[in-house]
Amino acid sequence: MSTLAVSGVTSSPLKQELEQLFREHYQMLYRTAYSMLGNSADAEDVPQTIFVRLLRGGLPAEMIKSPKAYLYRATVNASLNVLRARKRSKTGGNIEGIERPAEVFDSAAEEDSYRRLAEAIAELSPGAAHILILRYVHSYSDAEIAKLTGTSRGTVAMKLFRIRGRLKKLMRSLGEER
Amino acid sequence: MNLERYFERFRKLPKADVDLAWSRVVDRASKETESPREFQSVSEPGQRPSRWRWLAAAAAVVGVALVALIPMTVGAPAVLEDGQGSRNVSFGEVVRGGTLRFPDGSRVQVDPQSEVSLERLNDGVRLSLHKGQVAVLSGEARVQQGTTERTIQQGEVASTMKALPEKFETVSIRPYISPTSAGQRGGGGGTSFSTGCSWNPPKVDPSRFTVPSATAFTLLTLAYGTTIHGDVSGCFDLAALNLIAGGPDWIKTEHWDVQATIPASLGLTQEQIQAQLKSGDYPQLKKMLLAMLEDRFKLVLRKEVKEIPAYVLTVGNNTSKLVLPPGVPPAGPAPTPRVPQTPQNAQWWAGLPVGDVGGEPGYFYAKEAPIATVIPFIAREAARPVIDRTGLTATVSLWLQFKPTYNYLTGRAVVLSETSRLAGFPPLQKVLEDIGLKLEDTKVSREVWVIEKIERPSEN
Repeated sequence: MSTLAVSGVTSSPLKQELEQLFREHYQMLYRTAYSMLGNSADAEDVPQTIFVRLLRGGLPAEMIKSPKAYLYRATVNASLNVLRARKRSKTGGNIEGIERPAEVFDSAAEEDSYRRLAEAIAELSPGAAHILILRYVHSYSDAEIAKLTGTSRGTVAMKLFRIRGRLKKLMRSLGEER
Repeated sequence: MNLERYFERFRKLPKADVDLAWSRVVDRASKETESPREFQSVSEPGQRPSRWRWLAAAAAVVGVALVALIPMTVGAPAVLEDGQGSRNVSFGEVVRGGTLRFPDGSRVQVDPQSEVSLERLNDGVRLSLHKGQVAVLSGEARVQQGTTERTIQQGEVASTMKALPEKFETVSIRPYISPTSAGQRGGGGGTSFSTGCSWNPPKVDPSRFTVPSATAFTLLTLAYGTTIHGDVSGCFDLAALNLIAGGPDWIKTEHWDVQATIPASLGLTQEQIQAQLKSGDYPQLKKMLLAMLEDRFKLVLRKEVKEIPAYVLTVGNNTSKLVLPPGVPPAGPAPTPRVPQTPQNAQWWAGLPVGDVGGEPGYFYAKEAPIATVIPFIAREAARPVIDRTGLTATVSLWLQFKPTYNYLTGRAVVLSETSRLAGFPPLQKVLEDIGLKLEDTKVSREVWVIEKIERPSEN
């Protein structure tokens, strides 16, 4: 990753610029991380860690091009890394760290279905997770997703179709494992 | 499965406390020496962090076979742990990235760009490294490379790589002798602008670096790093930003023919070299050029990081004047600069190849070109770095004429008389705003090279 500006934490222009970006995008990044990690502690930690790194290492070229897209992608990727680290160290049947959802489920079967969906999302590729979260958490249209991810509307629609199919398949196999 | 319902609760999340979160970021950045969590791979997700990447910072792949011998055990030869979990690895299977855990407890980390496979031997397992490098995380391994064998311990790296060259193999620097002013040397000929940028771009192939009639200043800009694609406009950009300062006058007026041999061990193809030059990201060549300047010009530099004024370029919601259908020329009259062959009308536009960009102080154009290729023109005119925050992925078409304030060819401010035709044009920021682009002030950090000492080059 090429770095255009290598500055210390005390470098005021970089710090100011990052603070501005942080304030501008934090809610979106927090929501993104929360929807993947299921608890507020990790959801806060992920974007904060990304910005700690940026404060230390400067702005990468790809971030300068499109900060929102970069930060969003970095948050999804970091959240996936956390999920995979959880999975590596898990001992029980469920992904650890998922807070019990606030709403009451209609049935145990529905709760189980949601648990499996959370686990299936953790299995998605970064690219698929990027699109899924934009669509369902941030309610982006296909065109808006296409603009942010630098692809076409048609590709986004096709990918969403495939992602839903992949989730179904993953959920089925997770159900069989139990 | 109802995805809408599943994600609904996240859409209703209460807002997080951003002030508190930012204060934590600043606090952590000042205290932590290492991140407590494994978020190493921000731009490239899913890859395990490499604890020994620093060892390979200056390494290139060469085709050397290398093996590590591990004692034989019963069952699967190893378990692979990677971002996808863990699984048994079979003999002959090619593994790219991850950590291999062997039954005797030893663990070997395989770099994501590396390839290994396991082979059955009478007395153990052979780990063959086809490409890249491996590190021993725990235990030890015997490593056989050619006829030599050694044991690598925990934390050590076995690699098929070797250090990249940092110097040209041979260098020839001769004073440029102009055919029209024979006898004058080192400044007697050649063309350079008062910025110190000479006209001829370097020619680079996998084995040779050649630049005719170059000033020392141009060589310095090449060593500093700039985009090189068929012209030396990157030199003007660096000159405008004053990123190379100091030095005697002759570095901008005297010219030298430079020929250098690139070591074959650099291992780059013609396409790779051209791509590097075009992007301005040619790390090894930069090192070689700087080493050449230090060796032959006795260059001594002081490097400083300075904050300099810059612009952020953004775009509004309406891009209808910027993103045009194929073949459609921009609205308004085409620029009519002083040079005779310059554009006059739509016929000229039709004759331009798609992707073409060009200009001189006071005007520039782009035909169905990425915004990234337009940015250097804006930066040159403004004499400031310009950060692209447009997020535009579509190509743009534009022709802009404006009142120049800085002549990047001469490196001087433009002073226009009241009767000058150019004085009637609006400023650059205004014409950009007219097509939906906006320049906003910011500051960026840039490395500045201050020349403390430089001499005319020694004899070959």
